[in-house]
Amino acid sequence: MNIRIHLRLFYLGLLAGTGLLTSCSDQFLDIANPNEQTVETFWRNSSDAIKGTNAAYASLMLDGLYMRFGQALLDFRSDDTIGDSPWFELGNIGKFSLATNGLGPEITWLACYQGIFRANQVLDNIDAIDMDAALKNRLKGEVSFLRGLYYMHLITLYRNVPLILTVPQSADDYYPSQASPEAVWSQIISDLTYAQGVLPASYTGDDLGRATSGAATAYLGKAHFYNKRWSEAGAEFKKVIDSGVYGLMENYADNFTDQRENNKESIFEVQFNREAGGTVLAWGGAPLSTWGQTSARAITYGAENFGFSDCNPSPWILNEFQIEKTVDSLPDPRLRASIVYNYTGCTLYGVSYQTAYGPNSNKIFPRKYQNADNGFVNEFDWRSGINERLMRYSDVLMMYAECMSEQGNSAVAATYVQLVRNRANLPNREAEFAGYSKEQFRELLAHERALEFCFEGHRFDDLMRWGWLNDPAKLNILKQRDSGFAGYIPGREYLPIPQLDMDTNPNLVQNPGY
Amino acid sequence: MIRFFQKWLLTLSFLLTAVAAQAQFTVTGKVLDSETGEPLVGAGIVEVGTSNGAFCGNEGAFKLVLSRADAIVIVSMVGYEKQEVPVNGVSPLTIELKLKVGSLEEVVVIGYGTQRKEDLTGSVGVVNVSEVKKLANNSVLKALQGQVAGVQIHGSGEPGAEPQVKIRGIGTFGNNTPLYIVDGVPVVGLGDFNAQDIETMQVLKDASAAAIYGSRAANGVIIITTKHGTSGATVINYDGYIGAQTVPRKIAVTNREQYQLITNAAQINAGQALVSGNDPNSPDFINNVDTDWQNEGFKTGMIMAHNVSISGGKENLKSFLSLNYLNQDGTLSGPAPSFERVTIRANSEYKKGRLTVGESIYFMYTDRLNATALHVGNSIVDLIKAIPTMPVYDPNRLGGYGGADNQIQKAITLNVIGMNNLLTSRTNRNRFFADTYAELALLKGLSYRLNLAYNREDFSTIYTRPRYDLGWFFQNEIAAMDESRGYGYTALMENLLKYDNKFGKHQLNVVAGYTVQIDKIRDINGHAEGYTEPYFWVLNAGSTGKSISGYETEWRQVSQLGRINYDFDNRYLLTMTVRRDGSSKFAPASRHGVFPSVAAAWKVHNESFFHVPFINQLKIRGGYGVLGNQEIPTYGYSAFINSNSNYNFGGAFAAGSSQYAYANPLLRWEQSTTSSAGLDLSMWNNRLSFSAEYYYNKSKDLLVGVPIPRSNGTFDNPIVNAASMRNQGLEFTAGIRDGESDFTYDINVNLSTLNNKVLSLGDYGEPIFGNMSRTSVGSEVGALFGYVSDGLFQSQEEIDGHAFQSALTAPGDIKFRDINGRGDDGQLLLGQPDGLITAEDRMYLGSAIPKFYYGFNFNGGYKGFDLTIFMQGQSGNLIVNGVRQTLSRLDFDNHAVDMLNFWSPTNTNTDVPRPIVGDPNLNGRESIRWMENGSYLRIQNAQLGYSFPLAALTPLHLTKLRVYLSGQNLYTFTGYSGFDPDISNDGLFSRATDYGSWPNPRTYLAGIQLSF
Repeated sequence: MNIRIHLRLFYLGLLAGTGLLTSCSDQFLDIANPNEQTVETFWRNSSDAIKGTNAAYASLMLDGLYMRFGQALLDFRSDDTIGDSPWFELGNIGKFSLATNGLGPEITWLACYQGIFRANQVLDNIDAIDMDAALKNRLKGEVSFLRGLYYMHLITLYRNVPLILTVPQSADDYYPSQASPEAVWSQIISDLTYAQGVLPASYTGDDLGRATSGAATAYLGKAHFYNKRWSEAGAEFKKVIDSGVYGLMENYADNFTDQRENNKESIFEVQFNREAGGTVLAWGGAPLSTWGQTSARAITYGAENFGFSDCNPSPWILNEFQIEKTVDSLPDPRLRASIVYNYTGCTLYGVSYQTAYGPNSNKIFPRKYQNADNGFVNEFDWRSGINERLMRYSDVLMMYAECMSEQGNSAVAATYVQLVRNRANLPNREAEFAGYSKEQFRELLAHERALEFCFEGHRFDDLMRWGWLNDPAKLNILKQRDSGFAGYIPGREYLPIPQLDMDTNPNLVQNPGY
Repeated sequence: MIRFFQKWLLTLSFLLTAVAAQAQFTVTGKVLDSETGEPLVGAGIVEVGTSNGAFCGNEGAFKLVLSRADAIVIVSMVGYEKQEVPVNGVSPLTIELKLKVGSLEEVVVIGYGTQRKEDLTGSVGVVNVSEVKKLANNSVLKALQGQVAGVQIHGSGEPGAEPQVKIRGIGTFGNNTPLYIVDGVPVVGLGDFNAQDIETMQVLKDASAAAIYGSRAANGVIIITTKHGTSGATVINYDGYIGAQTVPRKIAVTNREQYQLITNAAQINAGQALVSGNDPNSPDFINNVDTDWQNEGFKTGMIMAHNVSISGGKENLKSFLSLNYLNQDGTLSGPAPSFERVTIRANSEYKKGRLTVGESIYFMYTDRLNATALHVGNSIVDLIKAIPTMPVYDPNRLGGYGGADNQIQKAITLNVIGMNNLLTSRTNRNRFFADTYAELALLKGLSYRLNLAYNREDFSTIYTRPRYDLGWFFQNEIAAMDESRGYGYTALMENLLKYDNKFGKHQLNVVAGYTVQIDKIRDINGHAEGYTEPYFWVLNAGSTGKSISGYETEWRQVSQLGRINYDFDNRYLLTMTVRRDGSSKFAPASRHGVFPSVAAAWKVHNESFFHVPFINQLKIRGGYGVLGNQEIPTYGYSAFINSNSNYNFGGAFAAGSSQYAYANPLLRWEQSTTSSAGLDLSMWNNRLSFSAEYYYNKSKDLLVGVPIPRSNGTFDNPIVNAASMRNQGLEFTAGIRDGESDFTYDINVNLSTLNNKVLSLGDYGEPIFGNMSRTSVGSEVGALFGYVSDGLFQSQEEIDGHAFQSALTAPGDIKFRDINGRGDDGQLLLGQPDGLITAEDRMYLGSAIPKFYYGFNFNGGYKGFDLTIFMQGQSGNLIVNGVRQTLSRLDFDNHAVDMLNFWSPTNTNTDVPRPIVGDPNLNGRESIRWMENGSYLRIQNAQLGYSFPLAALTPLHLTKLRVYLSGQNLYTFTGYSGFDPDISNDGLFSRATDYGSWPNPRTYLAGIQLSF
């Protein structure tokens, strides 16, 4: 037989076979993912919109935010803490010695942008959903608030960040440039202003903890406040004060346990919960059904023998608390709510301090946000259910006071500072403060805010906006309080743009100092 | 292999002459080539019915003492037809042997068919299976190391773990594992198969050889056929060995006193108060504990294997049965890791008229105790860096094992021995693999074959953690367990039409087929907590924290394939192949791929003009073809909603859903175009053989999860067709086989080179970073990248005069070189130092890919003794010694002893930086400091065996009895300072990094092989 005929037969046969089999093989090869819904089939109803919105909150619980590294990056660098973790990723934060590929800068950046990605998904899709208009507006308000909150974290931590307001549609959108800080602030204000207008004043039941108009207003005020627009900021804070929704808790310590969460002093908090979800620690990656919703702050900050003691109060803050006694000549109640130290009757996790560390120990540890008084024996299961209060009413009062004093109205400022002091049962010095100059008032607030908000992630932001890091005299004071400031160089008040983004995105510029 | 055995038998026979003591007639003579009249050196002569034998020496001469004068002798020679010669009392004799038609009769399995080795047009590496079987390993793949040119094995010494296998380097950024075909069926997990069951093993290296497997062949194909029954007498074989395994090398770390010296210096330099356990002035000071963790943590492991097989049959029914048991203990103190495997294989083949029907059934059970890890750890690194002031045992701690204390030692240090004894992770797998086939002869030369195969695996992993206290960082208050179970299967149907015929000088062989494959995996994972003693490790006994999860994955493939092999006059060979694949992994529009190839060969030695008497074979071949790759996760072309993005409000669970990762709807087939040209040469009656080959592979549309900026809000990288790359190299194989009378030997060497280059990358050519590596356009994959260190700062003046590194830089810190600058717009200014040490100062530091790989195998036989020496190595690559980096952190972990020479104002002539907790100058950063020469040459195996003479065996009803002693991984010539330069890791972007991979054990074996 001729070879050519053979060849022809072969190819003919192959082609015929191919043709016959193609049509049925296409159906055979259509396999839907049996695990998950596609993006195209989601965003159809109000339930989808609610779930999408809930997901935008969930990024707050990531390791890069309030599970652990959010607090670590905010607190460890300030003068009220000494971070001495043997794990360099934590230990170097307070020494301003982070490598550009450090874990904290990378996962915190990722966590904020994950929250933004999720918020953008809702905003991109919700308008097309046929659902109750009021609910739709509320959800848009919630995710706008969250997007503003995530950007506020990014701009205070990194300063020069990309501004992403829609879901990337193709690879062309994956490589954004950095926006100017003004543009980011302007977007934050726009998002919070929108949220302020559509969010309800409060929630009940299973919605407790969602963003309220009060939360949007307080953060809108804070956005102006950080830009030193004292009048605009003051106006927003005043709205919160006048809303009548909020008040100070009588017991300062109630703000830091899992007992009185979402209380009247709480304007916005991250909801942690030992019972919701599974028990697997949610370190990152694609979320799993087994993930828990707990924080690892308590084990990280936890006292020796009961936690990892990666972050201890500085001796300075302990002394600062002891400058002034209460009207009853007792220590400031905020001291013992905030710090574990050697005093008669000091117990933690059911054990007396002196049993744990010896009668003459001078070790000090944080008590704020610890489970030391909750019946826990230690923090070693990693899982803390204590909500992280991001915005307390007392902060609004203090920020309002600062707005007033900066505008030359120290009398009003003094009233609000004393309001916060009263809860701590400190002597009434309103008249004295009313006579303070702007400079004196700044010194006063530097002291008062340190006591009221120690280990709450505000202190370093305060030092930055007060310009302490750029003032050699002040920087020297900080170095005496916390030797970690010896590693500070100009520019390092901000974190590095994560090396991973620098390496993958040619449109980014690294922050000065790195 | 066959030739080896022929000689082997002759050697054996010759031995026996000494035993058979009734010499009655001495015959001498010559053996010559019937055509050329050349003497055949090495031809063998055996007296029929006895074991008397001899070899021809110089000039083909022999001398043999026969039992009687009318004996019959069999004369044989590799490549020649065997001849029986009645002696009839005549001496000297001249015997002429005829060259076999096609002297290289070896048949090679090429996928959907077989081919004579001499007719191959593509690159096919044939594995010497008998050499592979000499090595004791849990995975047959590990034994392939150094055996075939162009096959690179990077191995894990961990029991039950599979080594990494690459053929001709990295062809893709995804899974580089070749396709494994066992008895015609694609399988995963080749390590499951019992090495003793293997009959042949071949590696298809280029497109023309592999194209018949189309879409899945881009990484090369390893084809294995297993032993089948043969007609004839029933034969029972037993093979067994037992051996001891040890870790060949220790890493020198500091003892208690030295550890405290360095750690104290590091704390003082950081301005910290000494940790009390290291402070001689503290009551907590530790001076009574000095644990040598490597001494305590490594043990001698045992490896043992038994294999029994029985084979037999008649013309129309053949069958085979084998049973294999393997047991390997690890070298780590405690129960894990260990591996136990039982396999049973049965096959048979029936013939009736035009119909042949057969089946192969395989069952495997494995029991593996996995190495456990706590937090982000690795048992090997954790063991080495464990501090000497931590005791192994401590009855005061829950669980009874020692640990470190936050206040006293502060180190985050793990008692690996305690962990290994307290935590258990056990994986059991049951694998059932059945393959049935029927072949019907239709017309002359035309046949139809149907294959139906089903491979199912059921697996479970149970991971239990009791309550324990292994120190301040490693304590577990809540006993917990995880149990995962699942199954996976591959179902395959193949319809093949084969046509094989000869028309005069034209030989034609055609295959056409249609195949359908379905793969599915489904699993369920349960978690429970709150177990109390006594522990009952079932989910039901957990009291709290119960959760479950589960997933399913499925993919399908439909293919049409065809191949023509054409041979004109045994001189010109042509192979054409085409395969069309449709895969469910791609979007409908880009689901199908067509992969053609063509190859040709010219057998120069069969040309009438070719008259070089000492050359048996000279073949020139070349090929070109396209292969596909789809080794990516399923469903990658759609974006999905993750429904576990949950939160809580008002104390109640609130379900959350969100898109987690990005998708690429344009996903399409990755294509690899390969070209190769080669030459095969055999000389002096095949005593000398040589092959050389050049290949050039170019892959495009590489499927890769290109890292995208984290500003996109996800940790996962979308898989895109976003790179192209080329690999080129040379492969050489040479062999010598020769011998005289009672001494025979053969030597085989192979050498291959590899040169890799990335041609395009990502959407905008942005590089991909690995650990201390940067893969960029124009570079090779995983090219090393980092800072250049320039010695130590000796003074503050020197620091002030150097580029700024850190505000805390002090004398004794490492000086890094200022190479590049950063412009005002943040752009890299190449070669313009800017007075700042920044990420811009990282540069290319060397290659992670060996320039060449080589293997050397010697086999010698003398009388009943046989000796094998097998060496293997690689050269020209750097390794990032991640273990040394860890041991040089100079903080609370244990330190390498070299660190004792640290810089201090009184010890300035050193290259070891000052110790300081936290390392603010980042002395430990990615730099040339951690890179070491990764070249090595390893004596992989030395084996000495003795085969008892037949006369001694006959009374025992044995036909074969061989005993042997063997040493594996006996010695490694290397400059590398880590455990082992043969490391395992991702094999890709971070392929140079030794993260503390499991050291390959040194093994001493004693074995026995018998047949009756």
